[in-house]
Amino acid sequence: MLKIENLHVKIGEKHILNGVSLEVKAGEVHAIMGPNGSGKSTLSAVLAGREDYEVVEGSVTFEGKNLLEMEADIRAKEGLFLAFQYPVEIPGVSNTNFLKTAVNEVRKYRGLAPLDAVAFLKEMKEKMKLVEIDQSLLSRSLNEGFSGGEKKRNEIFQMAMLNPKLAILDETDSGLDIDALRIVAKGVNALRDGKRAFIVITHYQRLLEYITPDFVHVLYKGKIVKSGGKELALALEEKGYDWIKKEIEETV
Amino acid sequence: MLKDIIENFQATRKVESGSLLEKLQQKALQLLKSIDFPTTEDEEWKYTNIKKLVNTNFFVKNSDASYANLSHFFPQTECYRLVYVNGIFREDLSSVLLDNNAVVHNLYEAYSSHQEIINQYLDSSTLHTETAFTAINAAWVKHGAFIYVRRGKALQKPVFLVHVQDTRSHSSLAQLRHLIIVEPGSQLSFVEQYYTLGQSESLMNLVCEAFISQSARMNHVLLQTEKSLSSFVNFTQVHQAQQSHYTNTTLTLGGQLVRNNLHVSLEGEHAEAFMYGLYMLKGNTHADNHTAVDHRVPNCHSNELYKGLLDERSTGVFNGKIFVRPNAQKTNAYQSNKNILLSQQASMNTKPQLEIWADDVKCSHGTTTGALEEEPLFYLQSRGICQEKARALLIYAFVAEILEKIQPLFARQAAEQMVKEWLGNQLEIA
Ligand SMILES: Nc1ncnc2c1ncn2[C@@H]1O[C@H](COP(=O)(O)OP(=O)(O)O)[C@@H](O)[C@H]1O
Repeated sequence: MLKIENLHVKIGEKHILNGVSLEVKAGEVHAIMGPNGSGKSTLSAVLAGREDYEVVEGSVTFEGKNLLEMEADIRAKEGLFLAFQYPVEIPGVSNTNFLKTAVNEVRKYRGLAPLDAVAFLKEMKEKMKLVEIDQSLLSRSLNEGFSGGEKKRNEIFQMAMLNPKLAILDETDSGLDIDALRIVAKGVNALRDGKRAFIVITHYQRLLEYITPDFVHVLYKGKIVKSGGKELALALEEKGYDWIKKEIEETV
Repeated sequence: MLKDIIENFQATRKVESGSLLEKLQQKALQLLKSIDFPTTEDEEWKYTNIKKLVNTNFFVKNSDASYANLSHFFPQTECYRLVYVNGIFREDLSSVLLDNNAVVHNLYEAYSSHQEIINQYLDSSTLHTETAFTAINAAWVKHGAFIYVRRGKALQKPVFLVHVQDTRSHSSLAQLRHLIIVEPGSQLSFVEQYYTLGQSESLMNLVCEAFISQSARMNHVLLQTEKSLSSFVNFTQVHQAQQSHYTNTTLTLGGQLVRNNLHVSLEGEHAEAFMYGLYMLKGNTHADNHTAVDHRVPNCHSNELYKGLLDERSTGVFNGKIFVRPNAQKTNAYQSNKNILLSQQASMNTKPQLEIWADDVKCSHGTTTGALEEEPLFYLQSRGICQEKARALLIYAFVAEILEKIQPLFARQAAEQMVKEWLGNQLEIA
């Protein structure tokens, strides 16, 4: 589904990703872990189509198509979704209105008829239950004045509404208490249908207790330095990142 | 030259000889011999160059325009309607009111029955000598709204004034002079809308003066939706007595050169004035909003919010003056001007000007000018919304704060429609 090959990315003069390769197949859940500053957010931003970054080498294909050539909205329409680490507040744009626009734009692109008001509402009600999000949040301006947990839940809610093929969760666990974490994870798990793929980016192993990954990768200094199964996450939790850092330094 | 045109077109401004209207016209013509139009040397006109405008040879129609089918410009809502084409009142298309409670009519037609009160207010007005623009307006004084709401009466319907600048076969100069008197405890909602038909040059030179008496309320909406060769110069002066309430919303969505002067004078305690403005400019439009609120007495409240969007090569000016006179203690005066530049070529000059002579006051002002933020744009795009639509959503969110203030509903809906059109109909806003 997603194939990243030897991806090098810089911003300004600073090289942030130095040859990332990763393949994600349908239905798989990949966790990307790594210490702060290793390039995790950069990777997700590049995949989602943020423009400040310069890809200097490598390629990314999404279902065989060149992802890097697509505008951000086309990537979403093709089925890529990024749950932001820091969802932006947009005063004056109603959450519902925005979502209806987005859902119907995406549907149009996929050759589906737009949802009318009734169908949209029904869809919304269903998905709201999934992430235990309150109706009152949806009539408000997009993320405006939402608590950290509400913002993250809103991200998962949007994901549920947009039906992506691949969802990237960028440190969705950061700043969440256990209850919020549980709700977010429940939403994600409900959307695991064997076809949809996930990339879960996280600093801590915590979230992975709720969302069990098939693969765990460690990103360090802009490179995936270690890959393994879910036990790798546990090892990291126990021994910390220093263990990996040491191992890398020794092999250099 | 503008001045010569006035001299030459006697017929359109003909009024009874010996009447005050004629005297005002004569006085203004006399004045015009000695005063000149402002230049950019003049502080008040520093960023608005009118040289080309005042040297344009506008055409003035002597007779009523033949264009009769204007009904698509009228709102569906019930209202008193004043219709003008090329500066001339069209009674056949209007629905006026003239009874013991109130008058909604053209100034000239109302003059015969309300000479005394019209004389009283026009004669004492200092507006006519303010600038060369108000002077040429006075030299023409005849057409414009006369709205008179008697003590304790509320008009049952809003007043809708529409002016159509028909420039399909020739250029056009049109002038209107409104006089609005809202007596103690009465209420008025007044919506003015200005359109252009055609592609020739034109100028609307508007003077509006409103007197809002004690405990009276006036809601005032000005919708400027002119075409790219239409210019608009507007002097609106509002006098507020104690406990009166005035709301003005001015929308500018096009035109060649637009200059609005909105002056609110708070003359009685506990008066409240709200001034909202929205300008959405593109092409080569230049729009200049000069506002002034004069706190002459204690305990008054003024609140001003002007927002602007400037695209392509458009230019904007905002100058907001707040005067707080020495005895005007306990004044609350707030002002804010926020602009978004949508293109590199667009520019905005903004200048708050506070002159505060009293010490026990609450005044604040703020101004921002910047580009559309990247973060929200990316967020919307990452959800599958194309860039153009995402921009439109964010722009609409920015302007909604002003649109929400517009009353009555039909005016708000008209404004929303105009804004959507300006945005290229990218949005279906629920
Ligand atoms: N906009 C930027 N400008 C300059 N440096 C940046 C920018 N964004 C990220 N970086 C740098 O790139 C490195 C990786 O950052 P990031 O991708 O946020 O890592 P992580 O998400 O793993 O903490 C850090 O050293 C960070 O300071």
